[in-house]
Order: sequence, then C-alpha cells, then structure tokens
Amino acid sequence: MTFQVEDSISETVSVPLPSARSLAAPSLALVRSRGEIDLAFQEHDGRTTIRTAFQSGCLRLRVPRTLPGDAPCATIMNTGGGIAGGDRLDQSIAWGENSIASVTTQAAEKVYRTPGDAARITSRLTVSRGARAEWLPQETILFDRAALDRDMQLRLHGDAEFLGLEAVVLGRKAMDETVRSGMLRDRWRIWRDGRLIYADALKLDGAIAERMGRAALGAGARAFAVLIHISARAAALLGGLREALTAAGGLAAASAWNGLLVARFLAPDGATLRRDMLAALAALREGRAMPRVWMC
Amino acid sequence: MTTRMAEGALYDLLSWMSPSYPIGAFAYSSGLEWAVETGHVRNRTSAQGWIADLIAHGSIRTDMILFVHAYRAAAAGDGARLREVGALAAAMLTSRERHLESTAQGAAFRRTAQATSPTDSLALLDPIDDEALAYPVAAACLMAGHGVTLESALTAWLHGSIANLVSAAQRLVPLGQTDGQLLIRALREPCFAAVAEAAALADEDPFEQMGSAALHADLASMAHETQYTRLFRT
Repeated sequence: MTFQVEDSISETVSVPLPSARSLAAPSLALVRSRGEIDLAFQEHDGRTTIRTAFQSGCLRLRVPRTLPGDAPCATIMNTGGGIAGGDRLDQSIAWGENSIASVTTQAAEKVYRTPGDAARITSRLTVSRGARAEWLPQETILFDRAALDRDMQLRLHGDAEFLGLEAVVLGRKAMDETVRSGMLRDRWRIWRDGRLIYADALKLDGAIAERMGRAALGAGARAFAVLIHISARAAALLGGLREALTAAGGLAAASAWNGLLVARFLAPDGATLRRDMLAALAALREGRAMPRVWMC
Repeated sequence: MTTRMAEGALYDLLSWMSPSYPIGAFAYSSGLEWAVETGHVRNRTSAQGWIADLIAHGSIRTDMILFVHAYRAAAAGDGARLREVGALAAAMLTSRERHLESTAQGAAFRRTAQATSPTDSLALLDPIDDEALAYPVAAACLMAGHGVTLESALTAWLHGSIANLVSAAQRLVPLGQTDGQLLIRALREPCFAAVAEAAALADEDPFEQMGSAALHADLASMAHETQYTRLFRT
C-alpha cells in the first residue's frame, strides 16, 4: 500500500546513522539507531491539518490525504527494520485546540535480542482543549533476550479526549518462539491540567517465560495490552465496552473511574489479542474504521 | 527507656494494624475473590503463590514503595513532598475497585488516627482529600509521626496486608484455621525480603522505582467488578 504524502509535511531531515543491523559485527555494539518525530496537528475551519512534521533518523512520518471532513491519520514508520539494544527513539506529538487526528504505526514493532543497553523509546503527547486524540500503535513484538524501556507521558488540557493503547506480544507463536528472558519496562503517566490522574508501570524482567506462567502475573499468556479512554463519556461507554469484551478469546476486563475508562487484556497469542482489541476499539470508536495499516 | 520506646512502638503497631482497627479491611480482597472464582487460587499452595507474587511483583510492592517515600517525607516534615507522593499513590490505583479499596481505607485510617493517636505529621495530609488518600500514605504518615522505625513500620504494614489477604482466602477457598496460620508463616520470609528491599530504596522519584508484573492480578481487580456472586467489595 502506498500513501500520498500531504503537501504540508516538512522536508525530511535525515541524520546519517545507518541501521545497526546493516553493519558488520565489529561495530555492532557501537552503532545505534536514533529516531525522532515531532508532529503537531492544528484545526482551522473545522479541518485538522499538519502544523509541524519533523522527522529524523530511522523514524518517518506518512500522512495520507483525507477527504474533507475526515480526520487525518499519521503513520509512524521505523526504517531501521526493528529495534535493538541502545536504540533511542523520541516521539513528540501535539494536538492543537479542537484538532481531531489519529496516530498509528506502519507495522508491528519488533524488538530484537540485545547484547548491552536496553532500547529506549519516549513518547510525549499533548492534547489541547477541545481536541480528540487517538494513539493507536500496532503491537510491539519482543524477542528472546530483548530489552526495551518505554516511557509515555500524556498531557491533556480542559475537555481534551484521548483513546490509546499499548500492546505487547512475546515472540511469535506461529514461529514457535519463546521469550525466556529479557526486560520490558513500560511506563504510562497521564496529567490533566497539570494534575497526575493515571500512573502505571510495567516491569517484566529476568526469567520472563517462568514469570508469565505464574497465576498472578501472566497466567500463561504470551500477549497483553492496556487500552485507555478519557472523556466526559468514559463512564457511559463502560457498558458497551464490557458487552464487546464478553466474546473475547483471551481474558479481558474493563473499569471506569474518575473520568478514565481502562481495559486490560491477556491472550495466548498475538492474533487473539488483536481480535479482542479490535472488538473493544470498535465499541469505543463508534463504528469508525481502523487506520488502514491495521488491516494489512 | 529504649526498651519502653520499642515496646510502645510495638504496642501501637499492633493496634493500628489489628483487624479491629476500624477501616473495614475485612471487606476487601484485592481481586482474590475473582482468582478463587476462576480457579486460579484453590488451595493453600496456590493462595501462597498468588499473595507472594503480589508482594514481589504486584500491587503490594507498589504500595511498599509509596509507603517508604511517604514515611520519609512525613518524618522530614516535608508536606510538599508528601503531597507529591500522595498524588502518585492515588494515580497508581488503576481500577475502580483498587481506588475504592485504598482510598476508603486511607480515609478511615486517617479519621481514626486523628481521633485516637494524634500526631503533628497527620496535619501534613490535610491538603489531600479523602477520595485521594491512599492507605499506605496515611499509615506511613502516622507511623513516621510517632517515631516508629521504617523497618518496623514496613513490617507491620506488610503483615497487615498479608493477614488480610489470608483471612480473605480462608473465607473464599475456603481454608482451615491451621492452613491460614501456615500461610502467614510461609509468607514470613517473602515479607522480610520485601521490607529489606523497600527500606533500601534510594531517595529518588518513586515512579522510577515502580514496576509491576502482576498483569493478571491487575485484570482480576477489574474483572471482579462484574463477578456475579460477591462477598467482598473488591
């Protein structure tokens, strides 16, 4: 599938860092991928357009043209062909007042075995009043002995609305891959008008396969996700979301409190997780189609 | 004099962490009721595994980290720092029932402490509303205010959490009186290990020290909301 790039995208700024995977072994530990995205949406006359689209290193942005009236969906691509130890990706995305836009990723992000430092990904999302933001990245696939440290900070203002998810798959079941050990830190913090309203920190390390087998930890699952919705309608959407989750192939449950609606998923494999997430997203997105990259 | 102080602290800790301290602890199971309903906890061994994992990798570990930082802030009389820890503690209650369980007990604990064992440090909690006061923050503040050592305070608080879950398991699984006490005894070493780890935490941003692997227990807390038959509020 090819996308037309919207005219307002800024010139690509490339940092000449080659992908770690494309180099010969001796320099492997020294060469790391860097990537940076700085994306901002703005609203004018009821239409959301791109105000800033800076991209550097291994991260690229694609924004297919949309019909007038449709909200844009930006796709983040990692040209590095995956993530490995020492990689550093920084994503900054801002939704201006009253803008409506979604952000997704081109494909499931694969995190490879790491000899040294963990890969680090930071995401800084800001949603101004009246804006509706969707953060819909595809799954992160962790391979055996991969190490990933992610930090998400979301700042909402006034009546800003947000729908987001984070999904992790441990190895590919069809390929009979097992993640025996490794490290995953996934941190989420959300502020509304400067006040911290949600903080969640996952740390899965050491003997991951053994831990995921324990009843209170992974209960035998190999894939998991968290879905978060924040709006004035959050509590009202709980019933419909639960209804959608009754048919889940894995385990799923939802809760609403203090203007937050959160669902948690555990699944035996990535395919089941994806089906369950799509059912939940359909309930929350009022029938709007998912970004096309999700359907490939 | 040292002995009397130690005995005084022990006496107070036994009172504050007693099941008769009126915070309604008996009404909460932290999702254990759902784990029993779905067969994940069905005997003494599986109950021990579930609780030990909450201590080492789950919500109890999170509470211990918050307890340590709240204790240090209260002991230093640092109200701003205590409010910061309190805000993080409330934000980390990521389900309706987890929020209810921690803040309902936190607010009740503060009310009873103010009425029965007042100390200046409790006033540091005044800017925190009842709906946002997490239980470990309130308990740490009272114990620091009365000069209980951090290790003793942590041990007493963790024992209280363990005893409450064991009591819930006795009613739910069900387990006999001897099994209950065997469970509490078996969790003695995990308790000490967790206290040692928590007491040694550096004085940095508590969120950087957080990290739960209890994905299923987190989900259980949400799933319990729609459980058909419920003895417990959580």
